[in-house]
Amino acid sequence: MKRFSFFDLFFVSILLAGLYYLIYHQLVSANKSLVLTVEEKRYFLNLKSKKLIDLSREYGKNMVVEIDSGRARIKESDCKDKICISFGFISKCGESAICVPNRVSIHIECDENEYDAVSR
Amino acid sequence: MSILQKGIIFCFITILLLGCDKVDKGHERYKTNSYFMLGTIVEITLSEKDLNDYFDNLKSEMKNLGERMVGDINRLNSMKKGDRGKFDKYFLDLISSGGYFSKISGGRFDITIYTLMKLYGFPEGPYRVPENNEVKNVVGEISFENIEIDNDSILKKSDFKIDMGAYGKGWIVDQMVNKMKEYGIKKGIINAGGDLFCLGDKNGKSWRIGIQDPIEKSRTISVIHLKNKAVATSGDYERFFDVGGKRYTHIFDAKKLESIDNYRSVSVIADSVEKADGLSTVYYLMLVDEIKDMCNRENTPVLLYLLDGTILKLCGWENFEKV
Repeated sequence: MKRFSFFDLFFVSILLAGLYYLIYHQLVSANKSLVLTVEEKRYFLNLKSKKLIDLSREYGKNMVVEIDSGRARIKESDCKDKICISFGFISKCGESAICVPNRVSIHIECDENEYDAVSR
Repeated sequence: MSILQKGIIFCFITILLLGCDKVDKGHERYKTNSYFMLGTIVEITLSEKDLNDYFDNLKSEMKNLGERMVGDINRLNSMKKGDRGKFDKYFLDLISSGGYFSKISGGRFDITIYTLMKLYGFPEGPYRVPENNEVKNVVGEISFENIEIDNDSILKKSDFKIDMGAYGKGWIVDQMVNKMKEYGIKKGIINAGGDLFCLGDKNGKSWRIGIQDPIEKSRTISVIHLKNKAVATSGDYERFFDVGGKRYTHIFDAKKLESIDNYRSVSVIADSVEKADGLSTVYYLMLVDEIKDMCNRENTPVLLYLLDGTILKLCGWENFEKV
């Protein structure tokens, strides 16, 4: 068997560093989920899917949330001002769309967000 | 593979794992939990451990504070002209704060303006513009002068109704921050619908706070870095209605006796959320030149987002934009 060379050492370290970077990055930033807050409870939804969620059956709210592979929005709501709909699609870490009268919000949650909090 | 190769790979993995461990120890991970309460969304950001240990306590503390405040406001509002009622010290202090905000704004800010706002349907709607005679009937009741506070009671000198929407929520957040300190929590954020306090720092750096553009919501109009400071924002964009081309906002001038639409939003940095919250409404009622003077006196940086889209930074706001 061949002797272990400097090249081997170099190659292995690059490989391991790359793997480490990939895994760490996957864990930290790709850990993106959609959080639905209804009243005082939070529910985690799969942001990668593509579907319409009618909140009337499971959550008792006359609203529709649309998830479109990586982004989401409040598509319909029976509230008066429709402020929650005006937020449009949200996709970035830390973004939210909030319906205060119906006490419902959707929020993109990541391990590291762009802002620690938002004043509005 | 030789024993030497295996050994070196093993060493590498060990070093990497140790390095990984070091990163985790130096960098505490923070998590946010949220719920709706007091007519707004509340977000609490704490280290994972503190969030597990104290989130439920903080939430129920907030519920108790809110119920207590609403109970006392309702009791004062249901009292008749000439009645005197006993109240706890915290409530007398809160009313006195309203007196302070009224004084510095030359009477434009006034908690008794709710007597008039109620006729428009604020805060929850349905909204409408009241008839002239309805307005005439109540204007005589409006003025902070009609509230007489002594050691433990309030005398109601007119038939006013009060609302603490402008700074009550801020006071509750301040109490929750005190509770966090009691629990021994050193770092975190409590954010009640955009009125927030940053306790301590985050891994040695100030907390990074975005000020949201009320019109294009995915945009921020400023990013600030806070440590043991509060920021609050007031604007015309959440509770309002439009009739005949005029916008009726939920912010009323008690001197003009009408709804005011001076800015897109006003954000204020202060040492307490009550102050930041109250002053954001007080400044909303004032002109730019008046704010320039007052924010110096009150030592509160201000961000003004004018109706034409211009952004003004006053009293050292830009210092908080630097890291």
